Amino acid sequence: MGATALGARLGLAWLEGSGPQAEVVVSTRVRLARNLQGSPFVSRAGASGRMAVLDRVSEAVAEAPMLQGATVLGLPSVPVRQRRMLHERRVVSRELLGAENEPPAGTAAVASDGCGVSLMVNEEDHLRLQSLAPGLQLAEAWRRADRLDDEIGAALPLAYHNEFGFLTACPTNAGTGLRASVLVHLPGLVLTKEIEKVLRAVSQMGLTFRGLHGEGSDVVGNFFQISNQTTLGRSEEDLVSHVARKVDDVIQAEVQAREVLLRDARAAMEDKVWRAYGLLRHARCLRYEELVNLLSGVRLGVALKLLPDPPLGLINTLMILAQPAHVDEASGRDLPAGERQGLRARYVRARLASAHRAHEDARRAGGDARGKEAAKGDGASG
Amino acid sequence: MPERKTCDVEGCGNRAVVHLEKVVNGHQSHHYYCEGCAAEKGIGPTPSAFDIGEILAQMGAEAAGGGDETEACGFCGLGHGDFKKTGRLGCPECYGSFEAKLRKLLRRIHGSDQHAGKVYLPPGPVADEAGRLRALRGRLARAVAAEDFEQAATLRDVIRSIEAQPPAAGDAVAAVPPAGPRPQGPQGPPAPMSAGGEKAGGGR
Repeated sequence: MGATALGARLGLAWLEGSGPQAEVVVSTRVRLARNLQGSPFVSRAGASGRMAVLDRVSEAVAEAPMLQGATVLGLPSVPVRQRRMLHERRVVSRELLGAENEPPAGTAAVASDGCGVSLMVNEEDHLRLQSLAPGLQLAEAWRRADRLDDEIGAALPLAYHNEFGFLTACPTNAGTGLRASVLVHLPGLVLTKEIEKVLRAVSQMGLTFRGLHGEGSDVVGNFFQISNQTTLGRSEEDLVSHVARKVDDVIQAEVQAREVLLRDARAAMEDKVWRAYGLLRHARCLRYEELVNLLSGVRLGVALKLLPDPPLGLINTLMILAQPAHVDEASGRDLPAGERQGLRARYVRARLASAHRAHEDARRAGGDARGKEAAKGDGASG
Repeated sequence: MPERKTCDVEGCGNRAVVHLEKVVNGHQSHHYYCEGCAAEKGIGPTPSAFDIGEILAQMGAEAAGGGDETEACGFCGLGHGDFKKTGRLGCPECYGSFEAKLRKLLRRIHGSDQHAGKVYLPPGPVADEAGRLRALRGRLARAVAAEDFEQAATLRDVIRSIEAQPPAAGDAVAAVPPAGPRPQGPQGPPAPMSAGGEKAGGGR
């Protein structure tokens, strides 16, 4: 489990497409909190207790069909930069990385290149199962998390109580242990200043919203995570469909706001999105926060068809792969901030240029094909 | 309006979103970091959808004088006072140890203290066949609802094979759960969290 353990695609299966409702929704995540029966929770387990849990989980992982080909990464032995990459890929939480970036003994992540599910071991709970999918796919993400849960639960006795459901270290997660969250992009609501009203309505309906990197993070680039707040008293399907209905409402509100912007301020919108695109195509130095803000503009432009490219999937990819640890890894060393910003800008320029060339080639090929069809038609009629 | 700070890390220049106040030997210092640099230093808020500490503090104030802060979990030894401080329980058995207080807390947080989701039965020999069938039927219903027909077909076969088995003499006894304490798991704590699940504290 050394420097080579972290594959280039590990935990990134969800970046392979943009998914349903991609104009507004970046990704969907469902996580389940679980603990082993008869073992103290992580905060009272001690190093040997955590190691014992990890041993039992590793055996169960080997048996679980959904995790065939997955890697168990014991975090203390993963190099620091790769640990940060796992966090940037949303495979592990900041909490699992430990205070002062020292993950305690027994903490681990289980992930693979191929399937969109992963596990965190010995975070706040013994197990956090998660399923990640592009776009809005709550039912699918839940189905996969549920299946993984069945597989793990068939191999390991989980802490469960008939009345309280799955037992978790923090009572806020007890019951289903389920958190369904959807990462949405809401520039229309921010620009029309409707966002506070919509988020207030979301909060009143038993949901919470957070920034790009989940709990405790700042809102950057008009990206918000919306998730259920309660986990007990309703079935998993109820919780998931409640989030789905409310996210649908938010999407409708965002679409309407974008229509208003296009109708009332089209020139200003075009200027905004093309400026963002121009900066990304030509900047020589990019901070990550600046990149996300500019990608937010480009995303809006592509969704509104004001910009012909890049595809939305590439925008999602850049948001993950242009983060600090990923840029450092690409250069093979920990870079000073200025150098990293330069390398990030170069990477973004190259990816956008290549997407633009692909778009132009496709457009020309489409034009040629249409031209030949038209010529054939002319020939037939002549 | 507080002044907008930039990140303290040299060469960063991002807007600071984390304010770290350090007191060392009575000496106070303030540090500001952007999200990225805070993450790199392993500094960040401990997440929770709710401020459980606040809820617990409120409940403590309401019950002032009436609570027994020395109460402790018989399995892991966590005191109720420690739970109030951290908002984290020590082990699954804590749910039985602090049952009455937790019920109140769960209702406060979730609006309910009754699980309505997946029915779970742990692996291994299961004494309660009826419970196992109930769990399997629940999984079947979910698989059908999710249009996961492959999984549904497998589950249906398993259910049919269990239903088709005539109960042997020994099974007939096992199929009707006894009224007394349930069989113990290898860990042996009194039963709230064991297979099939009794009411919390039921074995105490």
